[in-house]
Amino acid sequence: MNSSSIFKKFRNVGYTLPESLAELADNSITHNAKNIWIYMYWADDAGRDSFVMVVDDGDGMDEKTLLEKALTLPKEDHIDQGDHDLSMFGIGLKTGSFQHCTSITAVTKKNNILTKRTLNFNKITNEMPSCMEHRFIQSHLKNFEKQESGTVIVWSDLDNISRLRASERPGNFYTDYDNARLHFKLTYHKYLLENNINIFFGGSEEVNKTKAFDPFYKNDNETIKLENVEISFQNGGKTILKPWIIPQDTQIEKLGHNKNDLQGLYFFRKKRLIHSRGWFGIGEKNTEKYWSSTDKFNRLRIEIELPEQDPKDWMSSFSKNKIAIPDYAINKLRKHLNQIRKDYLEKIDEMKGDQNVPISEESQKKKDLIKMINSTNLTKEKIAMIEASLKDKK
Amino acid sequence: MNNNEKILKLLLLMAFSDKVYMEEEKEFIKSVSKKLDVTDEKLKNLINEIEKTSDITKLCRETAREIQNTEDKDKTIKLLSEMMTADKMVHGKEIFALQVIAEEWEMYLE
Repeated sequence: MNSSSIFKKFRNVGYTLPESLAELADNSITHNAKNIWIYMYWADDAGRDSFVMVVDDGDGMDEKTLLEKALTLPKEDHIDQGDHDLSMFGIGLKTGSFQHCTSITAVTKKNNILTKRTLNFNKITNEMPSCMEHRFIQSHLKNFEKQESGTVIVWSDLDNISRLRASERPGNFYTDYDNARLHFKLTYHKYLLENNINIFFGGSEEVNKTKAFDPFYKNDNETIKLENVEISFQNGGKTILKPWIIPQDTQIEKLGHNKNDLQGLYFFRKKRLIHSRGWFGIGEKNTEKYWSSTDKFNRLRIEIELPEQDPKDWMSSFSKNKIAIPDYAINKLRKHLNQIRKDYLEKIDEMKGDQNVPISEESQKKKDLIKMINSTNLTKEKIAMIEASLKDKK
Repeated sequence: MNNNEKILKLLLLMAFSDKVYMEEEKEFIKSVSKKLDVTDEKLKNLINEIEKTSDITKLCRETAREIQNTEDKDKTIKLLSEMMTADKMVHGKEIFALQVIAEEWEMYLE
């Protein structure tokens, strides 16, 4: 079976649009991009001439790499190239993209040589799809050609996106932008917090930049760090559990999930978040009782770095976005997570005790205000209370 | 069609982009049409055209493309923003019109 037939068969691996875009962003980061620009252009309600374009200012590729690695099935297993290398299977560009479109065009620049190719299911070709003549793409390509190096990926013939769209939905990509932005805000938050990369959606202005957000609130005075736990597994792999008790009064987090849903495990590979939220089917030993995401543990978030050794053991598919904890790790993880959850409850009880000690009137007002602001529907009475409280402060 | 009518058409397209023409939008459009000197009859014709169109996105792009004058572009953005903030909420459909316009007028491009 040739690689194009394989790509066709792997069209429905289960990538969401944000996850597929993240595959492209992973490639950009792996190739040292500092900036990634993501555009979605919806030309008409049917989406016939629509396209998605991702531009970066990374190292770019020479023709050989483009033809023998990027646009085909790699002949050899991927060898990890170090901290910045987010690739795992070497097929993310193709499988992620073909989930949504039938044509991938790559324009890449390295050592002042510009190479362009399109991968359809059938073949790699020099012929460019008609959307490459669109003034929107042309305008970006002109700017791109001035860059020292980098890569542009264009998805065209977005057949699956068009087919699966709800007919009553407004004819645009806005919600997709929004979902992708949320996904990227969490997935790449470590890069964004450390200013390693800028990720732009729909333009290159400040307003288009994905804002940094730390789901562990590490720099917040009210965050509590529980002790790290190092675990070794039977295959020689190691990991560290890093538990955080986040502040009680967080603002609305705008991550598309409520606080209960955001509790639990956050699996990272290097600095990239792979899969997060919830307890991944872990529960009490020898019972069918799985830990659920209730109020009780909604301030507990735990970082877990995938072991350097055999990280693929933890992947449920090559989509690189879903964790399936291997059997050999479950018992050890359960044991240590049980202890962390106990420590967490003790700490919370301790803090509740502290809260019985009267706090200053100003602190109480501040807490009340935050609670009110966080509630979605402010009643007239609550608004009046806020106004009165603000007057008091003056 | 003069530019004021095109501006009004863009506002209507924003209002119709979710296929629901809300009461507050009707009032806003009515008051803007007076300011822009667009007659009731012309307004009615525009609404008819938009109701009949099978492709809101395409029509929105074509209309935006027809507005070339910077002053008119500014006027359109100002009115779209006013319409967006009329109910103190920003809806996806409103962002839609702004996004399309930003792309057509290359407001995002370097």
